[in-house]
Amino acid sequence: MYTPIFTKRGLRTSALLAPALALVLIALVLPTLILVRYSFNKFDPSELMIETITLQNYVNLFRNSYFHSVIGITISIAGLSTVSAIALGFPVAYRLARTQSRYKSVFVIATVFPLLVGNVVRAAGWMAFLGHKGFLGVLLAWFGMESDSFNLMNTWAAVFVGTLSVVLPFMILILQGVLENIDFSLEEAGANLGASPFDVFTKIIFPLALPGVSAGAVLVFILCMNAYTTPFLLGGPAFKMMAPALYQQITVAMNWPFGAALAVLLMIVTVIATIIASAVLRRASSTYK
Amino acid sequence: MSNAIDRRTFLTNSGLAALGYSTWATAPNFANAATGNVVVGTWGGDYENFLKQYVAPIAAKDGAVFVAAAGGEPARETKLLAEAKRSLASMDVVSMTTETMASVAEKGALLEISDQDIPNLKHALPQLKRPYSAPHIYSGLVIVFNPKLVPKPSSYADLWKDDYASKVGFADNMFYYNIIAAAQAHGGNPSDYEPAKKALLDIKKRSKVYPSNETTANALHTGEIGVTLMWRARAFQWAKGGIPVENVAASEGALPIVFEFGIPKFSKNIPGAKAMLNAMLDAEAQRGFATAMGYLPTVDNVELPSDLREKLDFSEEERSRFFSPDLQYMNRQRAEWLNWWKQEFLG
Repeated sequence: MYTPIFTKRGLRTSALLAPALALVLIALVLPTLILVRYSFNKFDPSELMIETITLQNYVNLFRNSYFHSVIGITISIAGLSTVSAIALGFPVAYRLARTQSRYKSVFVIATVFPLLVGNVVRAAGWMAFLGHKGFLGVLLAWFGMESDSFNLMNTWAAVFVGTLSVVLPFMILILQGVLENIDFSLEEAGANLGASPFDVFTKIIFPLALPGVSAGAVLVFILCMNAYTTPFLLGGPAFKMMAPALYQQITVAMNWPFGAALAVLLMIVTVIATIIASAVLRRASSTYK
Repeated sequence: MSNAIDRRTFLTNSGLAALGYSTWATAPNFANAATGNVVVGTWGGDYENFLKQYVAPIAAKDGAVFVAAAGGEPARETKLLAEAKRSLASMDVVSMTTETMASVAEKGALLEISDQDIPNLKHALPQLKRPYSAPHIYSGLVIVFNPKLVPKPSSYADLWKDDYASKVGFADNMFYYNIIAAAQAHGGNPSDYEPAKKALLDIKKRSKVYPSNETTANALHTGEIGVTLMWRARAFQWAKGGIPVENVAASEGALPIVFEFGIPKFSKNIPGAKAMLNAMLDAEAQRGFATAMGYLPTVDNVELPSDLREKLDFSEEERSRFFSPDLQYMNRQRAEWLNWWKQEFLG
């Protein structure tokens, strides 16, 4: 029920929200605003940065073809990982939601388990698997294949697989939560009325799960856009993604204004892509209603 | 009892008082007030562990308690500068390499130090001393190679020869030192690394780049590469760890790397920080570090065992050829060289 703010009860409710609001303001909004302000400063190697108002950092960013490909690769990795996470996560989430097994909690823990391992450890595992004379190479050599020609480290594929493995559990958990709230008697009713399993999925289950798909897609997409460890370790130094690029600018080049401009661009691109994805999924959802 | 003071007693007491005062006045400041925690911003892993093992007990005798703030140098530099801009410091001591230390000192983030503040500083090797930092350990850039895979090189320029094609590896985090070595091999000088550009683009197709020192070591271990550029101390550790490598100082001149410690201008425990720096330069701590970590002592009152010195040290002739970079040029050009490395060489 809506509570007007300027009533005794409304004020009390606002007071309860104040600590969380203050935390968000101090820990998120304020640093973001500082970052935005820095992006208009001028870089100076001897003084770190000179306070001024200039668009030069953004001009350099848009003129430099290197950063065009950084943005392009970041969006493509994030987009493909998100779509793949939905495609691979949906059947698992569906099975988890439907199962009556007494081992259900074990399956859920098994799904969550990769989240308990840090990104660095997980990437190290992939390195041992994909690297030169790694598990995959040894396996291929065992089958008489030339392992060197299958070196997947420092490639687009390695980053994609590594990123997907990070985000897949998030997608499964979100979808499972939504699917468990769907009344599966609808599915049975559909089947009773002659709908094929494909029709049941595309016309009943998927449309009803779309809010979850939408939420999962947005979360996963944001995680992928901001991925640092996986592209850094599995993609190698030459791999172009936004988070490693802006980390390099801020901490190695010490070019804070340009790094801040990159961070602002990353935020803008993420927000725009998220809005577009949400709008597309909402429209798809409404067409089913 | 007489209260009269005779001449002898007066002179004796005056002398003792004067001696006491002069001792108090000339004693390092930290002797009076070096108490409490001293937050030391440093590298994690071995460096942090050895600081705890060899330095912390000595600093504790002066009342300074070692508290590590471990992390990478870029993050530490960023934090130090960000805090200094607001007259703050969450670290009391910071460790950095020579050029980074020079860069933050130029930005006014460090306190000046002297032999009066830190007595052991008088033992520091003169060529490594700076007004804003104490040298802790040092080594030099060498060519590390696997003799079973490549012939023994004698210069950086050798790496461009066909014998080494596809066997050269570079560590990405060493990008600036790789650039300097390439410049040295192709006519560059301490204030001009431009010749490195063409040279590195020439070798680009015949070399590999790894994200870190560890991944480079792994590539040497598996035989994916046969030669790289690395600090002699680390090459010593790699060989000790079973990687089949040897090392040689390039004829163009080895680039020294000095790990230094400085005190942030706004440190909350300056006496404690000075005590910590003094402990780092202590002969016993220096010997411990050299033995365990493979870096050379920066003080003149430590003698290493001959076998260790043979593996870690540089000969007189190699020292005379040390490459002294222009630190100001290095720091001013760092951003541009990083962009070139990322966008042109790797891109």
